[in-house]
Amino acid sequence: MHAKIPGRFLSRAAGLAVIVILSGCANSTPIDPEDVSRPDQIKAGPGLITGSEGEFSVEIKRPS
Amino acid sequence: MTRSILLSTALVSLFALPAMAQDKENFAASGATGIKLKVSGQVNRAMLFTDDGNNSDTFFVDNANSSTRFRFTGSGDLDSDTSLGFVIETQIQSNSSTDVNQNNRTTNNGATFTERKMEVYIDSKTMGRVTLGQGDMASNGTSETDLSGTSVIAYSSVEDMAGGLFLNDKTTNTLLPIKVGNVFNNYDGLSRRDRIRYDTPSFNGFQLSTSAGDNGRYDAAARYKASFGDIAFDSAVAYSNDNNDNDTYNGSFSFLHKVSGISLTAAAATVDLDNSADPRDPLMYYVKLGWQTKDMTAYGATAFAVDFGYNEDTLTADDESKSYGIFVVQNLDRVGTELYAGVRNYEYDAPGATKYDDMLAVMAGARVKF
Repeated sequence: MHAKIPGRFLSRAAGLAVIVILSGCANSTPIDPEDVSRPDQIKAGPGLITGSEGEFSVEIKRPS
Repeated sequence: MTRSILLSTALVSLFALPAMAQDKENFAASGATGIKLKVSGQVNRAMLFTDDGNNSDTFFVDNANSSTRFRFTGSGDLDSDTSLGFVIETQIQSNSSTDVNQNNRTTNNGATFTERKMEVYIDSKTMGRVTLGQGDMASNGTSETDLSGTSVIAYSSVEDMAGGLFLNDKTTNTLLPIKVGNVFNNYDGLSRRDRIRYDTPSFNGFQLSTSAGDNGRYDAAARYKASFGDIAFDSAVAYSNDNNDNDTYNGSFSFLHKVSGISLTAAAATVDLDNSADPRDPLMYYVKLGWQTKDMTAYGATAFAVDFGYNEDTLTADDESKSYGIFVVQNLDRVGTELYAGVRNYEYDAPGATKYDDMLAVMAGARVKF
């Protein structure tokens, strides 16, 4: 026989979980939205080829 | 032959990049007169495990949430206000996660390049940008604003994870001619087309866009993004008309609380079908709750999300499709990489005697960007 878990208990537990998560997040390092990968975006990641510069880029001087 | 030449050229270019990067000083020039060429791209490969209710399968796929690709962009200043440029972007997918299925575990064996963008533009800081060629229609991406940091494995296009798989008949235990991708759609405008497009400059975060494409397609979109204290906000709405036919209205928004890392993302769309004899009235909505933190590892942000996607009247009148999942992404900032994993369940129900098994999909992989 299974003990019935009351809905009131579940809602209190969910509320407590949210409070705990928010408390834990209060002193966390802020997220910069510009660093967040967006769908279908290929913003170059730093490091693999070009170090911290991100995209590989060459600037070609126009002949004077 | 042409394919071989293209492949050879691409490979030579890619292998030459590190050497070119070391010699960058030899190419670089200061000042506003230079022409800037950028090379970027990504490889995004994953393992996909599926269970259609009768059989399970394992696939080695290119993750269609964000395909393997590379691009070249170039730009140069005409004067202090105006610049010109181009974009060439191509993808190369072997075993796309939206192509493989129970009967065909290997697709695109030749791994040919497919076009994404080939466009030129003129951009004025005061007048906006005009773009000509193949590229994003104004409405493309307007169902897909997402600040959760998990879009490489999950976003409003829920079918990208396993869209090629056939649904199973629960009663007869046979595969039906209906794929996951047939019953889910985020109606994200008009995708990429050959078109002319105009974008206004951004005014306090607002930007308007419109485009007209081949076969009478046209659309318009508005985008807004801003930060209010610790809250970052991104949003878009669009109207589009495909082939002077169906009218699509869609939009999406995403909030990110920068301090806590908690995000809320939502998207919705409806389609007004031109054919009055068609009883369908397609509808889509999508919600995602996310949390990302930079404090879990020193390698980069870790992002978690749960989502729910809903479609109705997609394939037949009064049908319903539901999908939900849980996902995690670990960024490795120093090497431009995201490791990801996720579990997604697909449900489909339609009027009639046929009963459909759920489709379970589990994906894990890596996207390496350069």
